[in-house]
Amino acid sequence: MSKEQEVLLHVSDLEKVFPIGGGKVNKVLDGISFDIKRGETLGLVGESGCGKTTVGRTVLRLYEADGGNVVFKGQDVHRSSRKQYKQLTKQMQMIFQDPYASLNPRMTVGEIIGEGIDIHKIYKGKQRMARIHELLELVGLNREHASRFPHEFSGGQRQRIGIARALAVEPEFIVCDEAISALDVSIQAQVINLLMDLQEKLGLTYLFISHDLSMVKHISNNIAVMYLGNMVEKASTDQLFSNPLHPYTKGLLSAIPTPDPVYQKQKEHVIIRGDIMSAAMQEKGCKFRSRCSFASEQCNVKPQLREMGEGHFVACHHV
Amino acid sequence: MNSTSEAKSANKKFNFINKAELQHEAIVRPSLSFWKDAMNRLVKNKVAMLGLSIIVLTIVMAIVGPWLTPYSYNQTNLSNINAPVSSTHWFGTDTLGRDLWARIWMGARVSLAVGIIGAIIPSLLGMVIGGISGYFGGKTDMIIMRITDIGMCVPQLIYVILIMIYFGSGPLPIILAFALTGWMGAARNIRGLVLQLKEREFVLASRALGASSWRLIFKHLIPNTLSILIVSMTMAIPSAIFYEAYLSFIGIGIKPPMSSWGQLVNSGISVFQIYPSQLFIPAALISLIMLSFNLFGDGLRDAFDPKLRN
Amino acid sequence: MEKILDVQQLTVSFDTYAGEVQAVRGVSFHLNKGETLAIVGESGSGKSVTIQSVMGLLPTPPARLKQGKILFKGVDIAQYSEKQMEKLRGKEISMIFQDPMTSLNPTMKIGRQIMEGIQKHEKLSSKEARARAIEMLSMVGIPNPESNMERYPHQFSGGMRQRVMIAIALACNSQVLLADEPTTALDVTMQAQILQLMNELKQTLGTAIVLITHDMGVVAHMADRIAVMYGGCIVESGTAEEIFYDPKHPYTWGLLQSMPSLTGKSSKRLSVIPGSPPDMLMPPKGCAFAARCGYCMHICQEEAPPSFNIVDQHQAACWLLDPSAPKVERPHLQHIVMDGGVR
Repeated sequence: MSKEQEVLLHVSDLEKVFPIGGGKVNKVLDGISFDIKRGETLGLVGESGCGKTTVGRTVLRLYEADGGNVVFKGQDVHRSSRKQYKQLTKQMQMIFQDPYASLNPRMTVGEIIGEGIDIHKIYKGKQRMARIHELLELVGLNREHASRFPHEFSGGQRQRIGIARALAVEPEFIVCDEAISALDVSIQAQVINLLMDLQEKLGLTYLFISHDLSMVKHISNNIAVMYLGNMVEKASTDQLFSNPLHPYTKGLLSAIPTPDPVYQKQKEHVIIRGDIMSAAMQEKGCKFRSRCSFASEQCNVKPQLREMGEGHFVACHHV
Repeated sequence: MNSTSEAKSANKKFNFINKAELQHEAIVRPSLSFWKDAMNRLVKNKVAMLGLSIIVLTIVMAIVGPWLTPYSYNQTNLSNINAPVSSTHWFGTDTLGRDLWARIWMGARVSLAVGIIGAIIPSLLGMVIGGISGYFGGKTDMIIMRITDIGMCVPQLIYVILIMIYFGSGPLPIILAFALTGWMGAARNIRGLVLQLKEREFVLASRALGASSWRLIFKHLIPNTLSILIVSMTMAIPSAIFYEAYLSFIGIGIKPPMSSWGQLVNSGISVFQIYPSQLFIPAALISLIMLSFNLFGDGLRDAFDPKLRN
Repeated sequence: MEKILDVQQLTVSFDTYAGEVQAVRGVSFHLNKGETLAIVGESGSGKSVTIQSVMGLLPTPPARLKQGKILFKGVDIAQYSEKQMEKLRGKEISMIFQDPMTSLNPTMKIGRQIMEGIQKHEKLSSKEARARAIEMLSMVGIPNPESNMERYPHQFSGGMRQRVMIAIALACNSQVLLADEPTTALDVTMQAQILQLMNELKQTLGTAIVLITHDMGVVAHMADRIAVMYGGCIVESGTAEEIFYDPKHPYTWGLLQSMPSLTGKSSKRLSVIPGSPPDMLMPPKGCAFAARCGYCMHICQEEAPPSFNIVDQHQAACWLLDPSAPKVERPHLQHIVMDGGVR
């Protein structure tokens, strides 16, 4: 079996509920399944509140799952002992959304990047410092920056510090949780390119979570689209962009403004009307039916993911 | 005249620069840690510095003051009672002829010690209990918070009186009383802070790196709550000083011949229509030190508040 | 065209603990009646500070208006007192913000909040104000406006809240709407809805809009004219067609090139602007963009470039436009989907 074919992360029927008071619960993840092969990137796309951040955190067991499995290199993440879990954290890392909240303001950049090295006792003393400098240069910063504090950096620089922190333990798999959405568009491109360079250099595997389909396109091999805790479409990047099947995916694609004024003013917009439906209506049926222009009787039954083409899955009755 | 050379130099100006020479990640600001930065701002705050100087001066006087006069704070002299302010007795004498200068600075020792220790101990206790409650959450949190809820239902004065009855009066029982009652408010504050911090992304990042609870608490949670704790401790000192004065004034705190500012006010009030200075001097000192601590605390809070940073 | 807003040589600094931060350094632009002007730039470029000083919203201190005029219908409102500004705000000039939650009062029903704005500026009975508020809510596309009048901000989604903010802003027929990153906090589908709404309102009410954003896609959707800001200065300005199809400043090239394209091949590297924006505490001596520019010349580090006129209103501040500068071919702009415009 060639190395590219190896499934690094296998997630099946992942479920997560959050109590919302009064004995009620909010089902944030309603059976999410996907595989990521070694060296590849899965883009996970959806709007705020669809549960994509929860997927990332539950995969890394920052949240306990309420159902389903996360298997990393044959090891069940949620049923590992404390010792096994610590070993897993060395292989699975995370880059966070908010470059302002994700760095401890009381620590120097060197201490922040060195934290993983200290926790796993990888290097000590001079070697540790040398490694920190190496990591800083790897993400395009200077070694002098190690003694500075997070508030002295711009948003893009901070996000690169967050990347260096994740890389410090030499992980194989990184969850990028909205790693670019708090940045300016021009800086987003910088970070995307850096992540792609690192993937090539270090053979990393990414789960790239974002609400922005256009940026995800540049980094992902496959894309999964989520809507309110369900996966509605999953396909290779080229497939998804050339032949989107789910009405929600179509709407998402159409909503992205093109940086070309004449084209933008002429093109036909499929605008998704309305808003996310109430929790009571979500109980059964397709959760998108309140905003869908194709909605019919049939949609009161929950659609399952069906394979429509090679590796192209969609959950809609009307495809 | 030399237009060719000018044109040449102009051309040179328009030569491209090697990209490698460009410093596009340079940081021009001087590096500043949070604490250094806060100290800089505190030092620049004149009002806070005035408060601090008065506090320091009072502490110094509490240490050396009683030795500057030959009279002892509890040495009575019935031939020289209620003496006015003079060159021998700098603050006069009281109804038993004791030197008020010596009594005031002896009293400062007691008042300041009770105030400062009585503010720090409950704050630290509250920090530990509130930190545990917030960090571990779940049942631990529920039990601790219900205990504080019940504890806070009973007025503080009742605890104090009970302790005084049991242990007698004096500085130590007062501090004990403060410690037993004061931690509850502090614990609630710290718990709230820890609950907020726990969900911050840098704490999650540390957890994702496999950090132990020990590391999370000492590297992330405590350093980020310390500034707020310091401010609340500084603000708690004046109220502790005032509370001690109040207890002594109503006669259940410090009792003569021991001295404290509250006790001095208590003695002063009985003769205040004839010898007002016996009341006014300690009363003024209480007000002054409370004001100073409050001003200094305000200054600390402004210095720690990063909102002004841009 | 009639200029409704004319900002001249605006210079704003902040006095901070570390020294003077020169957020805006001599910015001039104007807004014609009924048009949309987009001010584009990265965070820290001074675009929000510019717009907030027009609105008179900057806290002084630490902010300080060092120089400049803000002419609204020919009157310099930079000299206005707070009282005079209050009369203007919400009536003649309105503003909407990135985060609608922080600008709405969470303890007040939204109907009341709209009526309050109306009654502050116009002598209307509560009944009339209420009717106007309901009319505004339906105009911004909120379903069942009458029952929604009685709801609180937290009961609305982010997109709905931004609609409410727009309703409040336009309730008194403001002629100028300042929109500070109005869709940055929203999802793309919501963004599309709000942008369309703003375009519709511009058509029906004739409101002139100043739109602040860092997203060239949003700009393409909305703008008639564009001003590109970098390091507290406007580096290039012109009509939307000029900026998108014939940009002259390397920073504008970089901005356009770093836009992801939906049509091109996937998993392709994006071209980027390297490095980080300058710290305005110590702005560079020459061109602010010099350190990140692929075409940096010696003169760029020494002298700030003047503004060169290209055609009509198309201006750019870059030494490359100097006659003695070497001729530089503009890099390929992959964002252009259609062959059109001035190209």
